Amino acid sequence: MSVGIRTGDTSAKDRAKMRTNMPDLLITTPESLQLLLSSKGYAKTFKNCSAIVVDEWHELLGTKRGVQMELGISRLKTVCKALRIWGISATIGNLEQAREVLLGPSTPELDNSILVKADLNKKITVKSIVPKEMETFPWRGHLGLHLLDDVIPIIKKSKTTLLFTNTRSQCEIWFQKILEKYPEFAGEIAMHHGSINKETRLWVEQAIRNESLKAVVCTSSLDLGVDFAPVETVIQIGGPKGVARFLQRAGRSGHRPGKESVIHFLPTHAIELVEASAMQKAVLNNAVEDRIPYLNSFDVLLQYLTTLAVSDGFYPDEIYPEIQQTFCYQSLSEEQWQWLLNFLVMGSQSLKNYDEYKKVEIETDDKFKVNSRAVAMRHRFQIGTIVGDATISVRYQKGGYIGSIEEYFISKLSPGDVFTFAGRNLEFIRIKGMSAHVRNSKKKTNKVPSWMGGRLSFSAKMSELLRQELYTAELESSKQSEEIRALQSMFTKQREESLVPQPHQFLIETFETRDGHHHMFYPFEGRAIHEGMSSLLAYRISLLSPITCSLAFNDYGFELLSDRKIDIQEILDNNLFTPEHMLSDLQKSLNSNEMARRKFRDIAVISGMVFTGYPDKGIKMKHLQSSSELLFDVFRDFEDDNLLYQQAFTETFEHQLEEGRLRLALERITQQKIVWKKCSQPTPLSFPIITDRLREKLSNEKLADRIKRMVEKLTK
Amino acid sequence: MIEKIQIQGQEFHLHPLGGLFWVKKSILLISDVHLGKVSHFRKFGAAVPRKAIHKNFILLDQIVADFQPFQICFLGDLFHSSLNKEWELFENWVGKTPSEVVLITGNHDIIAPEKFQNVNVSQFQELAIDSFFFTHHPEDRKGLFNFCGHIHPSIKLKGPGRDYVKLPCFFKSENKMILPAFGQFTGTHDLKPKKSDDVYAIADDCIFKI
Repeated sequence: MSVGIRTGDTSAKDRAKMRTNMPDLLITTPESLQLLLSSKGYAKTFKNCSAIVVDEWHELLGTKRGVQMELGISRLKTVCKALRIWGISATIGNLEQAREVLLGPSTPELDNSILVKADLNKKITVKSIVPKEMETFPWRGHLGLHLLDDVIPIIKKSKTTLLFTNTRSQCEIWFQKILEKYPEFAGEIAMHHGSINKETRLWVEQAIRNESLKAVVCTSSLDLGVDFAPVETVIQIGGPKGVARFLQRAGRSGHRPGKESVIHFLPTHAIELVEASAMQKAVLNNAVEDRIPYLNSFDVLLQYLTTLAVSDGFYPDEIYPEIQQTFCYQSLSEEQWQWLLNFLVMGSQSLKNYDEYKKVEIETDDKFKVNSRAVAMRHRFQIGTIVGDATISVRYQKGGYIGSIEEYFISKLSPGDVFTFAGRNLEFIRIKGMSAHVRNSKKKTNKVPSWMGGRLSFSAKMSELLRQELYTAELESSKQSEEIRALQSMFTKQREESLVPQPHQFLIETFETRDGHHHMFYPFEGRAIHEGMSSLLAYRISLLSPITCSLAFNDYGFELLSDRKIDIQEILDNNLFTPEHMLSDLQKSLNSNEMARRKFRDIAVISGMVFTGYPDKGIKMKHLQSSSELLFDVFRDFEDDNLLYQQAFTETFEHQLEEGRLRLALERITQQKIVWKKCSQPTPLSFPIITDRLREKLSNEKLADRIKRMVEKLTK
Repeated sequence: MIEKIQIQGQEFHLHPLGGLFWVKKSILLISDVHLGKVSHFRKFGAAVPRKAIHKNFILLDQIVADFQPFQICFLGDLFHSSLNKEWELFENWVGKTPSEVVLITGNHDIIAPEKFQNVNVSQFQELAIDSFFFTHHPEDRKGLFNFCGHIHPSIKLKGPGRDYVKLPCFFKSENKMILPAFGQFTGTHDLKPKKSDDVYAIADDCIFKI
């Protein structure tokens, strides 16, 4: 039997070979499957394909890659003579739905399917690293370096340890700091994240298997994939934000039947100890989250239709029923379908004579086809649903690829600046084409590229568990977990001016600092819910009187910061937390507009409206690269009924703000007693929020009034 | 609302749409309109809303009506790309506009000069009148004051309560004034003013001296 691999890294030569002679078994990705569908004669290639196995389906479900998979399968069902479909998934909350999404609702495939469940009784032990001295442990932060010394004995005790960090910059910093303080580990520890070049990553993975490494600092890049038998221990640095991810990471250790998995939770700031304690309960109850599948992702569908038009062309009458069978597009209406076809052919809904729009053409037999080679080529480069920031490759001047970094970070460097990347200190020399030239440097530096990863939010389950944990703060210490006991000094400090809320209480704090008037609210519902709630509340307050404020939020609560005092009594008297009219208020709030703008960025790229350029050709195609920010404004002003523009809002409300959960959260608040504490200074609970620099803002004051204040501040 | 300023004893009016009017000579300066950008994207399969094409011409009409200048001088990047059908709209616009139209060539202006000649638009690399000279790229020349574009300047302002806004602006330093981009569907570039610089920020229909 022959086995082949086709991914983004497969060489052109190997791909060409596959075109004429497919291996018996092909290992591929959703993107590469789409690429195969974009090559001529794909139907013949797949005619004799007898089975498709979708591994790690839980990871794809709930992403647009999953939608890509649904579409790919919908085509293969027709093209292959006798297809068998397998899906493999880890434990998730909505396993039944996962099956429905994979096979298509009300399809014969679903009716004929069976679910095979493995009854694994894996023992997972969670241990928290509790700081010995709580008094000096910080109230905020996300690096966790305070506890570096406590990690060392754990590493020394076990054969191989994986240290999971939440971001790539955190990964770089931990790697560097361990070596700085414990140079004896040199050569025995390594680093692994998605921006490092592939050879290095493969080398690290091999080294883990050979047991030649004592520890690896990594990110989610090692969440999935091959098993590493020698890993005995896993350390999670900072809150993993989800039970499923935590379990997945824990499962990387003791990966042998009957062996115990051990994971240590290292809190990066005080309140994360509550999270650590809640996580133990979550693991005990196997409280794994749902993965919410996408509905009506017009952007992915447009990409798919263009893909089919690029290869052999398609007949709408043949493809429409296939698409309707998928979960994502089960409710796609005839009008929407026609809209999409018009969009592909005319770039709008009606033909105008001076228009030169060109992409898909309709041939005489009603076949939709791309005939321009340039359009086809641009499309093939753009297939995919993961939209990253523009990246630049980092290379040694004498050659040698090190990895890739966001263009944004490099643009802020001047020649001679030193930064840390891939565990090395590198001096920036110059930019040439699409790569940054560097040389090794002995200089020390604090510059670490930050990758704008999405900030993750607590799931509903996790928030619930977290609240339960927090409520135990009032119990006598024998009934508390070790983590909650350790927080005693912080709780005492919190109670000096405020309180630690109980189940029936909703806490609001107000105080003033140099920055202005802080208004703190603590629903403990997770970051995403707080983002929506803060936006909603700020909007409702602005209806009472014009106001400008900035919003900050974390998993515990949110803040409205303003140069003026907001009258909390007025908020309560006017019942501003009511779930009534929630959706319409949310839509009107400025902030949801900003969020939709960010969503639109991906949609514009996936649907092919924004071309991100050929890899390594950069500048040459610059004249076709527009900022999707501008594009969003143009749609708002001229074509707000565009389905893609509207999709940005639907995604914001359903996927980002989770409007269903937000409504439940508001209903819960109406049941609670509101406690308003006027404090003289920031409380421990407020501290991580008010120091957050990444903020949203909201204003319904006249721009002119705000600018007058700004000018005053400047001239002071 | 128009902001009136004095430069080297001459009166200039700044318009919130992004144009600058030299009163004595009755010249209206406009920079970086980037006509044809929308059509250019559409031609290459990016479906930017077609209605956006007309917006630039509507705004041009508006500012011309406000000043009724003898001459309109575009400081470069009038057209974003090679010839496309938006050119016809431009031809019509020049035809019906009573003012004389002049173009200083910018880095994006790659349309053949004859095309401009045919519609009576004269094209120059630069233009000097009295002690002022007009270019696309900012330039320093002894004894002369420079009006230019290219940069698409904007400024970030901070207010109390961590409030901030980003606004397009006229950016005046000792010997030069950079005009904001007039065109819709163009980006901006943040500049940080020095003590000696004057910044005139555009907020909706007002101009603020910062």
